[in-house]
Amino acid sequence: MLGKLIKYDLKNAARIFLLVHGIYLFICIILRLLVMNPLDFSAPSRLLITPLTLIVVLFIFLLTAMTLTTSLLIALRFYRNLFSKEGYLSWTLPAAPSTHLLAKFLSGYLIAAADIIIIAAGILVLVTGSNVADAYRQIAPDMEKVLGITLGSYALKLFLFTVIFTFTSIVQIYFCIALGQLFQEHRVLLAIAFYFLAGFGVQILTTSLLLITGLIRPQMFADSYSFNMGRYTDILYLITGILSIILAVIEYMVTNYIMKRKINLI
Amino acid sequence: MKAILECQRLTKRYGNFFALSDLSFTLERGQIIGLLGPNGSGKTTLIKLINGLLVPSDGQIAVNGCAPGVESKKIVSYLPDRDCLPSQIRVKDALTLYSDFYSDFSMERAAKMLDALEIDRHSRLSALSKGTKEKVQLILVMSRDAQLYVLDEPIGGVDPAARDYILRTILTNYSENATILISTHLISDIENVLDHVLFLKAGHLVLNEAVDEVRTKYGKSVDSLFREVFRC
Repeated sequence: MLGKLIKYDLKNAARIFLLVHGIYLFICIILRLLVMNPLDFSAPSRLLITPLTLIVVLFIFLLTAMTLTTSLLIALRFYRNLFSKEGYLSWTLPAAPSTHLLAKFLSGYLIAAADIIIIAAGILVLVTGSNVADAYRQIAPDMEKVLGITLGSYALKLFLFTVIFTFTSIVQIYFCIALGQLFQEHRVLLAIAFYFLAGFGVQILTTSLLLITGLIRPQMFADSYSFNMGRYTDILYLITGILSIILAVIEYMVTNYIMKRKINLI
Repeated sequence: MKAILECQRLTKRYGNFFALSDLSFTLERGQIIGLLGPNGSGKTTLIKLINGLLVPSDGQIAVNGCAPGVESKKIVSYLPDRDCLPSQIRVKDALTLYSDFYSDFSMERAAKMLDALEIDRHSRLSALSKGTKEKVQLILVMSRDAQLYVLDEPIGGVDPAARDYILRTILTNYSENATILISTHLISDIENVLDHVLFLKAGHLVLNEAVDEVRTKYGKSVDSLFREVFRC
């Protein structure tokens, strides 16, 4: 049953996902061919500012659009499939609420992980030209000093952390939607409000924990020469990782409880 | 053999409002039962409770001796009072979906009914009229060899000719041991096929009788008795 639920969920999400991510990769290839490849990094910086600004702005816009689309896709699949009119079919399939939640969690994770992998592939398409590699070689020693490790290792670490821990954001989305279902009216609006509140709460908690434990101190940033970005990131990953897992486990259990005991389709 | 449906002091409350109050009854197998009552009487709430779409505030509900859950869903075929299939899927994909999830689904029976109603199985549900969508959903539900069919307003949105076909479909597609619970306002249309009726009024069960008993005891048709009990 779990496999069937996941199959149908992925099938339903595939069309929009493939369309959006196909467009993203296409734009990345076009940017590489038309903007990145012709760049001469030995040219005066005033000539580089315009194309580089353009590419950075466009890329940030693309990245935001992609992340937002993927999150919305995961949230909408969960809400529509279980709590809107489609719920009248989903909840009458011979599957336990915990199976529904696990299926949604796994399919959501697969979608989110695929999203991150495709985003990373797009970045690689943009920055793997020989002109970029040659230019980077000149600043590599300075970068390694700041990061504590090579840029490649740093990027790989960031990529793996994001892929592994993306499940926490999926659980948070499901948790907030399930909380919204406890109310008779304005369920979607309340779910959105819970999502922002939860995000805000996690940020406050993480920052407080980092400051209280002394793992992050304001003095660390004071001296840019001794500041080690790699070390700072490691601490940040460790703390946010542990905290995210604890929160995700609690949120998953509460969501499971709501789906099992408080289901109330309108 | 256990009763197909049993409710004991079943109550569903929303704050101070009682959608269902202290409902107790048992449904035996092999009957067609009309669940009748005006708007807001609690018919859909009861149906949702049977299907596990709501959780009771109090009391118990058992389908074939089990609380609504995986086991009960294997033997209950439910037609909701609204579209519940994803609008973008095609009719043939809806058939595959039912076949994938319900081991008692008969693809052959569904195909026969689709052909009889001339419904193109390559059409997307979003492209079908409201009435045709309802027919597709009913075909899916009646193509299962379920023990309990729960049909919420199955003939509400279709024309009288299709209504006859649907009633024939219901009658010819269930086994003798299966039970059909039909909720509707169109009593005169279905009165002839009913064996038993339940009248709900403001969340209370006000009548639980065999149709023959109603006629003998009250000297009236179910439709006439309904109009009398629920006179505004």
